[in-house]
Amino acid sequence: MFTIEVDDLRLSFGDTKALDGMSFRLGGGKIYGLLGRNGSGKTSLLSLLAAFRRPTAGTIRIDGENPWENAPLVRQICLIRESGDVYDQEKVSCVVRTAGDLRPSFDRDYADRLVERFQIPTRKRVQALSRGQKSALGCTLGLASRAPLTIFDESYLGMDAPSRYAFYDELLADYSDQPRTVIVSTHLIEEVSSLFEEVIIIDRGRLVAHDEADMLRSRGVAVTGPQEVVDTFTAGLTVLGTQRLGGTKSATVFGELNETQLSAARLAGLDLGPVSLQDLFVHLTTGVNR
Amino acid sequence: MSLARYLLRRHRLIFGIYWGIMLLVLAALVTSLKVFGLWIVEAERASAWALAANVAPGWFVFVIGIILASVYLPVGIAHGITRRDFAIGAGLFAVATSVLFELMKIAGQLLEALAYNMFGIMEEIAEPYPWPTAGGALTEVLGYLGFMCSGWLSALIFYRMRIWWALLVAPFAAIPLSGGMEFISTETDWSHKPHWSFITLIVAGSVVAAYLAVRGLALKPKKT
Repeated sequence: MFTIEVDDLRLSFGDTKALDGMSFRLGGGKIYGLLGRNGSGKTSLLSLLAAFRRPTAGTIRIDGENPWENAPLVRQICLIRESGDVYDQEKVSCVVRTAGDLRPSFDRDYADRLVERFQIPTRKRVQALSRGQKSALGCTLGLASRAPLTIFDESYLGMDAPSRYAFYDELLADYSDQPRTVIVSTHLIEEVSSLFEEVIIIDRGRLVAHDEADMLRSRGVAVTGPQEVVDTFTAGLTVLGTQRLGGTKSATVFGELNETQLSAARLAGLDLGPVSLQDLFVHLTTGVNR
Repeated sequence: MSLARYLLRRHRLIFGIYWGIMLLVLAALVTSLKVFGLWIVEAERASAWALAANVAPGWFVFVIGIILASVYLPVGIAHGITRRDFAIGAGLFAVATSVLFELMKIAGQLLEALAYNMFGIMEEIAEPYPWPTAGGALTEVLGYLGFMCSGWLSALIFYRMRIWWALLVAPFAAIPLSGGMEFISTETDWSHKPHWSFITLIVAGSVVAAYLAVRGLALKPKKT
């Protein structure tokens, strides 16, 4: 299971800084969530990890080694990008065969089962597939790669809900069966957050937060109760968002509550719960927090 | 599976189709010579096949060079093959393809000679029949390699550079092709051709350029 160490990583395209001095360490053997807004640098970061491109500055160590042009290492890394890196004019069956021919760890039988589960027509050319089917093909290649470091970059965009849930099921089942390091970058935070053991949030090419998912969720509190009581309690606190149903209100508050605040909430009959990752993500990557 | 073997396996059908068509062309040419007389065989050209299989295979492998860089290279990198390993694998495939194409060309020539003898055309032609030679075959193999290098370089130039820069640099990518053209032309008098070291130098230079072009290549996301 690969560890990943990134130190002061920078990537520039002319004047544009896609990554601006990013550093973090992933212990490996987990499912990691990579969250960031559009243009935050997610794809750039993942492309560097998979040695699809070379960083402008900084270092990457995967299992202690630099992945750039490192044949034994890159063979064990699989990045599935949203855009898909397959030959569009080939038939699906041919694309799967190519993966089997070029990737030593590729599990052809598993790939065939996934193709059937995602209902991808094997005789069609990739360019004739729907967006969702193309994404399902990408997910199939990623899962069946059995690469010790498998990365999905928005790879299930366009898939319908049953297919997405099938992908989550397969990912969890395969991960339990053959533990490895998996990174999933997504915008569908609520839907997929239960998979993540650790979460990395980036914005404008910089690391904003990196912690275990549960720890991140504990950085905020969802306060639920009668509207007036909630308003009184949250006055002066950083409220990320609110929801109302009749006379009941739920407010998402950023930051940990101290003992006095916790006692006050209990006395007032308020329910306290963890904050959703999505609310936290929105708070960390918008407005004054950027 | 080694990359060169994989590439050969992927191309065997298209190579088969190409040479199948060329065989039909040869049959048509010989038939036309028998029926209409020596219309295509002139004073300096005793072989009709030499005309049909002149630079056409060269342009074919030029396109294969383009496909290698624009289709198989990104797929290879995405499947965990380093640029260096891909360049080596593609180089071996290019050598194997060039040798194969030369062998097919020679086979066509032998078939033509057989047909000439069968139909009595050999006695009618004024010039001696241009039998293949080892030296000629070797330089033609280098010529095909030059064509493939040009295809590879052209594709990478347009992949890596902005369109206007690529257009400016593209003529340099045609250098190996021009060198190759000198050697697989219809000219059968080898005394009129440049020295073999000329094509060797050009191919060696273009192989180095082909490797340098791929060395730091960034795999761009496809436009969706």
